[in-house]
Amino acid sequence: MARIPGLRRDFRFPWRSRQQIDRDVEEELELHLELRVRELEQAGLEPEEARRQAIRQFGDLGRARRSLISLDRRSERRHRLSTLLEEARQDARYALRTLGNSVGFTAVAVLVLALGIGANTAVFSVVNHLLLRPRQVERPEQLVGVFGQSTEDPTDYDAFSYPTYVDLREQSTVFAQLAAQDIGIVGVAEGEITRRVMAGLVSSNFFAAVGVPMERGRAFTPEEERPGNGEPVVVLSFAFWEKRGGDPDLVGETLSINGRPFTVIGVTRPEFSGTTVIFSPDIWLPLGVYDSMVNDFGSGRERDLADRRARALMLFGRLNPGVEMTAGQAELERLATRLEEQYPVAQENQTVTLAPLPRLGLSTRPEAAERSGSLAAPSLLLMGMAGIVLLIACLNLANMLIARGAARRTEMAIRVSLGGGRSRLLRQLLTEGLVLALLGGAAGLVLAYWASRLLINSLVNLMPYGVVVWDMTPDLRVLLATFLFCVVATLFFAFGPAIRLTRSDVLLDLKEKGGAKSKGRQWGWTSPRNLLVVAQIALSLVLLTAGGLFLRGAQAAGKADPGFSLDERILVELDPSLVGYDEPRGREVYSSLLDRLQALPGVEAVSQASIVPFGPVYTSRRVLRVTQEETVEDEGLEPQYYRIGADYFRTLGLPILRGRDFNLAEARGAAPEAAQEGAGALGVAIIDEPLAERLFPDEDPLGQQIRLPAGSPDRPDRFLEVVGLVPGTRHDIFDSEPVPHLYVPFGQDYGPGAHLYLHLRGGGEAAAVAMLPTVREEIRALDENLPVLGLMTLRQHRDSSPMLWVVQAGAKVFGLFGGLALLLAVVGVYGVKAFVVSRRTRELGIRTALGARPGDLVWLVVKEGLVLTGVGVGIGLFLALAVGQLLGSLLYEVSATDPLVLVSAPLVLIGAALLAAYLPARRATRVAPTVALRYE
Amino acid sequence: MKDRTADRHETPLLQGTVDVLILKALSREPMHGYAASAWVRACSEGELGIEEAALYQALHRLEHKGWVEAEWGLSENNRRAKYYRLTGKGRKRLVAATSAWRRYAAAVARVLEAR
Repeated sequence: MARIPGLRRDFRFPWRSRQQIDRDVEEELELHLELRVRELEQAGLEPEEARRQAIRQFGDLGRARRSLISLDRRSERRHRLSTLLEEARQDARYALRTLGNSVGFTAVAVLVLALGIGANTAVFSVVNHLLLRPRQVERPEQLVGVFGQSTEDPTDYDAFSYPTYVDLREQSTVFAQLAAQDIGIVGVAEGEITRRVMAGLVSSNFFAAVGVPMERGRAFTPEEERPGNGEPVVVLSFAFWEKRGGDPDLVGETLSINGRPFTVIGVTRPEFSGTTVIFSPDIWLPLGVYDSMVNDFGSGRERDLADRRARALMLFGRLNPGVEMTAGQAELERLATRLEEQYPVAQENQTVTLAPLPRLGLSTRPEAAERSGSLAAPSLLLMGMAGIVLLIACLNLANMLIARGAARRTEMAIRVSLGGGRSRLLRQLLTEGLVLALLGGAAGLVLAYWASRLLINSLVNLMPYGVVVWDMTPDLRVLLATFLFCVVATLFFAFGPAIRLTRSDVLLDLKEKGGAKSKGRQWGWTSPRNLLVVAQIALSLVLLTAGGLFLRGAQAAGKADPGFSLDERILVELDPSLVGYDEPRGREVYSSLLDRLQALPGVEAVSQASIVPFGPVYTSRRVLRVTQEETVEDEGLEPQYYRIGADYFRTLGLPILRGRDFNLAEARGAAPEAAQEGAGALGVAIIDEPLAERLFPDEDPLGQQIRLPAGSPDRPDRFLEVVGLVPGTRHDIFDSEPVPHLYVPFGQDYGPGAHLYLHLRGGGEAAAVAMLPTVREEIRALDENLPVLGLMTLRQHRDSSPMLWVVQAGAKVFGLFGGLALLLAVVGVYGVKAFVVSRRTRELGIRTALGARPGDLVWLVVKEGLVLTGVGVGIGLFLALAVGQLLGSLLYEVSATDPLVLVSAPLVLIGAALLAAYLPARRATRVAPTVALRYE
Repeated sequence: MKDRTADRHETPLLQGTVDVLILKALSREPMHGYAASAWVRACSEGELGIEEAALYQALHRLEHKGWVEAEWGLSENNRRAKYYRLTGKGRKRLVAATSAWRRYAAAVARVLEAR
């Protein structure tokens, strides 16, 4: 201990108060005048005259005094600051040396803090990305979303047609740029195979409006934007370009998209992700190719982009500098009124509204009006959970510091007696804490980076298309937040122990030789150290329970089925339009393929459907009874709309409860009048029980007619007769019960993208997996060009669902938090027990000498641990129940009071805590009594 | 200053000169403000008189700059007095300022003596 901070200060001038400075200046000047007066008196002047002359000779006394005082005050401030900085530097160096001297303690403390701070940093960097971080473009605050809104129903938003977009772009003075975009899925040839990629279809000024220049090549020209132009040019995202080898010569080459050659004209910058922040299209196409490229999952786009009634585009703009949202809004509303007068049908009841540009995806509605709840609630929950982890880590560390403090009492006492003031010692101890926290924070940053990379990568592998532009490198915001976590943690874990350690009665300890016997207060079991342990156990139980509930939810989700068995079933995803096949050719492909697959040995049944349960795609249609008038209240009834082949229900193992299945003619569109159904002929439909209950509550649904409104006055509605009734199924993995479904035959409504189902005759999952290559072979044999977009067993399909990923990733995160909490609590209990036992070695030795058996001693120590754990678990259970209520809505099909979790979590915690108490106790009994008695 | 030349016959000082003179005074021994002013006057045989208000401001300014440091002690008449002492930094400054001053004075002299 060569140099102890806190000693040097006393050899310097103490700090001077303002009054002291004033007095010093006054005294200095007064002495001068006195000496001068004496000199003048000696020269023969009268005392009064001497004083007058001395003052006169001095110059402007008042001004001099003021200037001296202000100068001295400045000096004093600077002196104080440099002293503080110097002391902080000394403290930090001393702290590093002290921590370096006890490597074991430092390592454990840094690890505990790294876990606590790292958890918070990881959660914060995710939240930062989702909600906070500005887009990586120039002047992101100028970007606004532009939405079409109904004047009749303000909750009703719509996209814009291309002509309306052009009118707004040309006539409004609000925007420096107004850009349009839509998203489509296209097939890109990659050697032999065709991959689905996400394509952004954008106006020519899109890249300029976002405000990120091209990495290579050029953006689209206005001519390439003109609808119907069809000029085949494509801009690649940087990530896609890199996937293709990152060759600069790729610009100018051709890329086969949906079976047509496209010229690559440019590559975007690495940080460019369009208007969204997490996912981004792989490639960008001009609006000129919109009509030939977009197949929007069969929702029936029937008009060309140039048609004013085809509302397909989502708009965003870059506001002119100085234009406020509200002023811009007013101008756009006037413009919308004018457009409505000009085009009374197409623009009926349409106005334009400005709102923040959605961050997470493309949408026709502002994020605030989005039906799915905001991310704010789960974000807050995650931050809360991470906060508890840090709190537990802090309690843990506080305990370690108290134990360590006992060993440092001599050092503190020496320093107090040598004149180190208490506040100086406090500062030294807090600095030591901050150094620990910063070390832990640095390790936590690495941990968080690593963990979130792991999480993102697991998601990337699941995404069928689109580029993940999630850069986990911490930005300034994350670094600042981490620093804040360090400071807050320091206050939580270091302040209490420091106060305790610098209490004046510590001084007495100098006489007590290391303070092995504390003369302090007798605390009993409510000593701060025990209370800290109880708090840790209680909080750990909260996290452990929450983790358990989420894990149970993930378990339930992992077993979820849509309402039919997933066993022995195979799913094939195809889209003939990706290689440029039109409807007749597509129908032919599907018909021949179904026949071929049906003929395979071991295949029980095959069928097809436009969409699949637990898939990423939803298609819903409004449905009305024929007699029912359209009213606003009916809006809610939008069943999932499946276009299916024959034998669909038999293939899935669902019974047809009443009526019949579609026949082959209906399913494959062989019958001419069925194919002409759009002209007003009566089609057929099968509905499920949930839909029947909603549409025909007390009637027989069979034979009833339903109407599918076209949603536009110039197109005929579709009329269907219900021919069958089937049981309900779930579509979304989050559906808590079966949702309404409407099934129409594929023959009546063609869509290029479809899924084929195969039901095998026995053999279980293994047989299904073994069958996959045969299926692929069969498709290739039929048509080499046909891209197989997906080929897996139905079970694999469920397991790779992004929604399941959300549930399971959430469970992993919460489970991890629970595990961390358990670990920290166990370390806490172990630390305290080990410490208590070491201080009671002498007592235990005496007991042994007096004949106590080892078992008695172990019980003596463990008993106290048991009491602490019991109290902690009691409080924790109470808290866990309260937190469970908060979690309720986020849990997947598990009750917040799930008995398995509520019983096993405390048992795990109690077991771990007992073990943590038992180990030090057993060690104590191994000390020979003679050694124990001589101890000290 | 003008009214004082009448009864003291002193030459007005150039800007910055005060600092050098004080540093020089303090380089002999630590002293308080009155002693420093008296020493300068005595050395220059009354020719150079530092205005006292300016002298104290210069002392405090030098202290702020770290060229001198102050300590309270007892004066010859047993009063609490603020003694100023040259620091290492101040000593370096004095050496530099002295040679600069000499060069300046010599240059001015050469110009004035030129025909």
